[in-house]
Amino acid sequence: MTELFHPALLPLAAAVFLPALPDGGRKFLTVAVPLAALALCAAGPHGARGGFEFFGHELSPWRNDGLSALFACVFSLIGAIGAVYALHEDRAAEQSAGLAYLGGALGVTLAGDLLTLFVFWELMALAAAAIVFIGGRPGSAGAGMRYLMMHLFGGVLLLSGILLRAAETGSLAFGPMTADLGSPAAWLILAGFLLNAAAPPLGAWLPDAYPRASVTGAILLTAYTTKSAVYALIRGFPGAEPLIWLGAVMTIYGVVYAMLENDARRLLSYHIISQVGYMVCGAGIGTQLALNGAAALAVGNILYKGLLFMAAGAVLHVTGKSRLSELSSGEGSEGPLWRKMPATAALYLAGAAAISSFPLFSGFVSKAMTVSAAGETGAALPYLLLTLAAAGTFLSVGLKLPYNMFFRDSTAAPKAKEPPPNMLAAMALAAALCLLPGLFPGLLYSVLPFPTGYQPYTAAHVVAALGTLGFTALGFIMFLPRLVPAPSLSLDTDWFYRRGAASFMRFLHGPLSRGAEAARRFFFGRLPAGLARASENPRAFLGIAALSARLYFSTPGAEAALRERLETALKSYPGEACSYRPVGSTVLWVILFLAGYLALYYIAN
Amino acid sequence: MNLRAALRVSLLFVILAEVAVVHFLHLGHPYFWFENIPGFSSLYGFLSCVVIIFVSWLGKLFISRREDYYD
Repeated sequence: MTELFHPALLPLAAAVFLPALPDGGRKFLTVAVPLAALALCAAGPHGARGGFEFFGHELSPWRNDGLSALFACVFSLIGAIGAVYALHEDRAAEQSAGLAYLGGALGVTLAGDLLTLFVFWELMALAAAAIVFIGGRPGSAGAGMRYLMMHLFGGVLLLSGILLRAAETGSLAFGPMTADLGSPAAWLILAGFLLNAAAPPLGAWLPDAYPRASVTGAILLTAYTTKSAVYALIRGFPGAEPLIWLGAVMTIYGVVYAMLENDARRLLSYHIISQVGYMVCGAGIGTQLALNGAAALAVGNILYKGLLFMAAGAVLHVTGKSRLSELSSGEGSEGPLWRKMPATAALYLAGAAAISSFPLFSGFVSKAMTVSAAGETGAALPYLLLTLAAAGTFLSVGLKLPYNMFFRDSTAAPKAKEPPPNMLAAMALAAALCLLPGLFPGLLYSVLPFPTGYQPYTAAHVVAALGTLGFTALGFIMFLPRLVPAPSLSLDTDWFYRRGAASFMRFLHGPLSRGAEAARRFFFGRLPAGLARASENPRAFLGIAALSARLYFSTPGAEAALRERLETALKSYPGEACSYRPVGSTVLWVILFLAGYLALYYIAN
Repeated sequence: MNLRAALRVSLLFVILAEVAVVHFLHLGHPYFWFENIPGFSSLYGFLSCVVIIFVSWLGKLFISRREDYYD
């Protein structure tokens, strides 16, 4: 009986029935259902349940162990926080899509086999694309379509990998596949996972889509897709060495693009890629410390990245602006925005402190694990790159964004005030959950997949963190005049399907279709018409062709006579198609042919 | 300006604290040789900041387009 209460089914069922309910009931369910799912995931006994046979394969849709329970619980938790944040809105379609998205994420996390994982994986893609599509921002619909296209492509990669693997190994079980990376099956699955983890060059969908979701819809987007991919990497590819390098590159790529970006929510979106890079790197290192670090970072990131998006969203909600260049004109007597929205600014700074891994916040106790793991395995370059990206995180999310958003004089929003209380409450809850693991690391460490005695608060760690952060701040102040935000757009790999595809379509509509039309006219118009004309009198036609050839190669003296003959022949064409000869010449031809045949017969024998 | 002065003074204390903790109290456990450079975290933090600002400045030169580039 308990098999019926798979945690993913609860939000999925609610998503289906939600649109039929009145406004109050809907809002109640959007908060209550994630909480109920949280209780189910947290209380569910460990082990696999609800297994059944499907076309000769054993499926197990509910595998509850330390790793999956941790991710499932945090997914449910941010679902509830995001719902509280959205309480002032009445967007039934988004509420429904949000619950379906949560259901998909829970299904992926709890799936014990690859086929179940794939089904929920696609469900997540559909729900997330719907959230982007109905975002109601400029360009939402186009971004939603691009999101869907990219993720369906990723789904195809994943499914091909899963089917190949099932054919090769005869098993659909979802476990470590690092040892199988010699076969294309594992590579396809890995590529499918990495597309969702927003790893370049397959990651440009993320900063394209997330800023175009609504203020409330973006919160769930930041949590589920990338972090369920991180879960899948931790589960499926621990210790896969290419991930170390890919992750290290992602951390840098994300912060550099974040530094280039002007739109606050797009900056935060790029920075997700940087954060996921740490987790990908942790999965690639694959030691217990590294995997713990990756899981802890994912948990912390869901909360502080959610908090940052909520605060930037609150500013957008109140002022209607999210471009830093508009929010920080640096002139006017209105004063900086933090005076009008002190609570929002403070909550943003709490999230920024957590993500920049300030001591006492959750980022400190989780990021230190991953970086230490890189150090323990002796990977010097990844270690340096991860530390470099840590400075970049503070620079982009902890200094550039809040400075321009909250602390410069601005004429952008003369009537700005704090956002609705439900938004503040959701942010306060997330901020508390960013502080809690920082103050009591044992709480976080006790729910990680592997037991750990890691000590984050050593004197050396703390002074190193303060040194990195403090001197990054110094650099920021020194280069402040060079860091004035300006409206711009940074090219990314989505160029290939946004500009490249447009050029391809222009090629299809222009040169290619003109060429096709010319070919069609020749093969279906002039060529058959010419052949029909030739068949009216083939003998005369050949005669005309021969005359033309002779005219072409003729000497100037003979030209006039030939031209006259040709004109006469053309004028009388087709004329009489038959020619009449005496019987005797026909008999002569027959005799000649028969003799030729006889000769051929003897030679052939 | 007061804020900047305060930052500079506290940074001085931070780098001194780091040198003290790592080199006099030997509380750290360096993984690599370069972590034995006095004040490594602070110096590397500053270097990182400069590198990222420089790389993003380069990026601005090469990959920045108008905001309505795709429209």
